[in-house]
Amino acid sequence: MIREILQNQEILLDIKNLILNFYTNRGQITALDGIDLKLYKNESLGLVGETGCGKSITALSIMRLIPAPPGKIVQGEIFFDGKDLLKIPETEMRRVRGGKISMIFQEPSTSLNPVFKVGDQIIEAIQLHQKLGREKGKRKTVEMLEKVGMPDPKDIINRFPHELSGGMQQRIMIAMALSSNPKLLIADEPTTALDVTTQAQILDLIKELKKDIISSMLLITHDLGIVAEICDRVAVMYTGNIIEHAELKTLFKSPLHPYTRGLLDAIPKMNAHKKELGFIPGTLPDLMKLPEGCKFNPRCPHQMEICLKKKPELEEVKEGHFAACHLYSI
Amino acid sequence: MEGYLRALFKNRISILSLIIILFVIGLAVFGPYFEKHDPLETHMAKMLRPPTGEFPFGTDALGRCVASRIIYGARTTLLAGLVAIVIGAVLGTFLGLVSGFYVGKVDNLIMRGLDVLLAFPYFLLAVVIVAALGPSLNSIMIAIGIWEMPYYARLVRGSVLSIKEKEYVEAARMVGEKDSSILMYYILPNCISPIIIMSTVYYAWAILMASTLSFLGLGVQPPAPEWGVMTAEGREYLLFAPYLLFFPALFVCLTASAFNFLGDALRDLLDPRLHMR
Amino acid sequence: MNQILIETKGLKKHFAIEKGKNAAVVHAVDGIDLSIQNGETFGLVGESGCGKTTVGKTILRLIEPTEGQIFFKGVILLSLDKRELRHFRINMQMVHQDPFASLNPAMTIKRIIGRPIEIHEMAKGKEVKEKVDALLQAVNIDPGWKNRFPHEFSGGQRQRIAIARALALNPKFIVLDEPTSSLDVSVQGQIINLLVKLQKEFRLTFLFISHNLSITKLISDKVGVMYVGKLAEMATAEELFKNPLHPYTKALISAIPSTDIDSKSRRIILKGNVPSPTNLPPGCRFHPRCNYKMPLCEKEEPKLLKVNGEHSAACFLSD
Repeated sequence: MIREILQNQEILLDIKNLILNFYTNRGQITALDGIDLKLYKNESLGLVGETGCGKSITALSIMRLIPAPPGKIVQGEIFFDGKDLLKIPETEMRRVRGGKISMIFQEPSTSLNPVFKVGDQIIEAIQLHQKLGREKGKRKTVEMLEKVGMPDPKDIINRFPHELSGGMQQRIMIAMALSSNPKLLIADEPTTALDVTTQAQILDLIKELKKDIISSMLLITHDLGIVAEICDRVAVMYTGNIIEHAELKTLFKSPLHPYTRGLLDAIPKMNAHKKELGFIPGTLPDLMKLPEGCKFNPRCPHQMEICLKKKPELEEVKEGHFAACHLYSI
Repeated sequence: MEGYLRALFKNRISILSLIIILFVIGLAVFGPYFEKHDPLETHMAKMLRPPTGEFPFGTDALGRCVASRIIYGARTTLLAGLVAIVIGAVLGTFLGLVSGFYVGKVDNLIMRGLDVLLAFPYFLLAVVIVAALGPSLNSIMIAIGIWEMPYYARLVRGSVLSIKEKEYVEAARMVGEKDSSILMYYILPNCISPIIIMSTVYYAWAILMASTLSFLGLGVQPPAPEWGVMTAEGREYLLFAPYLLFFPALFVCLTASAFNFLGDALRDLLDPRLHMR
Repeated sequence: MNQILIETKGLKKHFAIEKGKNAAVVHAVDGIDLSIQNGETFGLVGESGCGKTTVGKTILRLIEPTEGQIFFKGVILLSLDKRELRHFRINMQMVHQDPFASLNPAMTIKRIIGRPIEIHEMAKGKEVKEKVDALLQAVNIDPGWKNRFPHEFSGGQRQRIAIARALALNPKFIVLDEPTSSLDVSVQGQIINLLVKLQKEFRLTFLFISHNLSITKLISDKVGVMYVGKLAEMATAEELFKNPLHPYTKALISAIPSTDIDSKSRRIILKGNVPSPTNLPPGCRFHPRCNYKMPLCEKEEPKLLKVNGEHSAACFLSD
């Protein structure tokens, strides 16, 4: 609170104690176990974690895109622009989706409708949220395509998705998402499905767009390298909880949580001397059979007695640096 | 596993189908111990009695107890269907495996041959086979088996085509497995699931076919009790002893439907899971 | 120790797609000359569609090459008939990318690892069980679990089982096709470190195929960079990253997202996309995207030539 006032940062998105369960034939899975997350205006927040940590689910929850059976938000609030998104009616939420909050997904080839021309898909998005006529919509589309660096936009609008490469499809997605000037852009693993050189192009594009159209962004990824390039702050997730969050430099230079340290160690260093790669022993736990106490304890090199019994709370260990670990509990 | 059973029970039609199936099987297996009347024994004095006390389903024109005939008929019908689909499954699976694995000319030959079989209206096919072998239970079991064969072959061929491209098959080749071993240990075991699921549906068809063919006089011959035969016999008396036709027809209908619904439910349940890892 | 184990000369694999009017040929592998020394790890990197996996499978003759020769310790692989090849496969094995698809779901781990031993009659009865136990221990999997099925194991564990299977026949050469790409970051190290350990223990030679340059550099002795079916550059791992010659290699290296926050290196951003392997540009296939393009590059295709020592590049700039 004090920090916010001091640094004059307004909160754009405030997730409070979000608990989400999935009820399946095999039993109940708690996908999100009490998420507390704040995203400030004009900030890019990276949400990092491995398979099953719940990062994509968090994004889908914000957009209220979780299929209602089998999923159910049991508790929590998601405040955006002053309103609790979980309580507004669906008609209002639809205006938020694609309007005030836009999302781009991992697989551009399946996110675009294969039977419609690319231009038409963007125009549709523009018409829906900005109530522009078709002609104005077309002009805006060409404008957006230029902004995302598409060569020859007037030709591209008449193409179908399958005629374009992965990188170009992703640019289309970005153009569509940004056409409504959203307050928040959620990018869910936007470059994971792309080649390294294409990924570089897209990351470069996002960096450029951050200077003008993109105001606030939530970037979801498993790749800490991408986070380092684009984000201002980072939050790390593990099996449904946020276990650490801090400013970018702080997290990379002095990570607190053993899991974060493990993740950073697991990145191959270009100047490594030995043929050895860091790793975290053990495997991600089965979400049906989570360990007691701190869910990371079986794999943690600093496991203590209390870790087996009590789940650690997310606390502010240093200024602006939060971690959920008994090593730092007061 | 228990998850699947639990999900199965959530669907009311599945529960109903399961109850009917268990009831009919129970009837076939345990019925004879409870039903005292001999299905073949005639009591001319008691003929055409409506369903009451001693004869819960009534008696037919020859004074035979309809209830006991239904019970013994259950055995015949259920068994006939089973043998038929086993014949169809064994032949069809073999053809599907060969066809899908070797593709090319062999595949074309087999598939076009099966297409010819499928082009026959199924009664015509059955009539042709029965005419060659003479009307009997065995003949119709073979006829139905041959009729079911292309469906199994197509199903298996589809599975084989997709499994063949999987990395574990390539890995099998790398460690030196012969083609026959690959079919036996790598491809076939992974095809079993769809075979079993579709068999419930194919079984429903087989039961219907068996009864229908017997109804037409091509299969089980009177005086053997069989639901189709009994339905045929009951036609004559429809106006004044409707129960004679009603009961056997009802049982055929219920049993075939129950297996059909169960098969559908199983397929819906297991299908998406087949795609998840 | 310095003998060449695997050598390819002019290796090509072309796939014909469609017939008649729309006939096209995919030049998946379009002339690869490489040699791998005994005990060495050769890293083959490139982006999707460059043909690296096809090279691996062609060397093992899982896919038959269209042209070219493959030598295994001097033996001409393409001269072996089907029966001889089946027998020869004892010497070379493969670990696939997807651990969820490379193990037969209907077989226990015991059989998956034991079958190769039985087929080639390397042991009988109880000996097979002992060998399976030893292999499982070598990859850090509890032998007590050998009666379980693949779906009961995690991705990392399955990959280790796949490695155990590859080792079952005591091969000299193993092709590792993106062995860690399907695994979580925190687990990749387990597999990499295991492979390094096993290489020393069993004196293995690896062809390590990957799109991840960082991991490839870590584990490889020599690295080859592929671009749409051809080798753009080849050098020792150290040399390639210290002194990349081909513009594509430079772009690839600079494209790696770095976690070193303080470094302010400028990124090389390539324009355009990877060309379609059915419709290659004339001359050097990289020229449409190259920042150093010369007129010669549009007409002639550069050959992979030695620049110094072990370092070769296919680029007119380094001639």
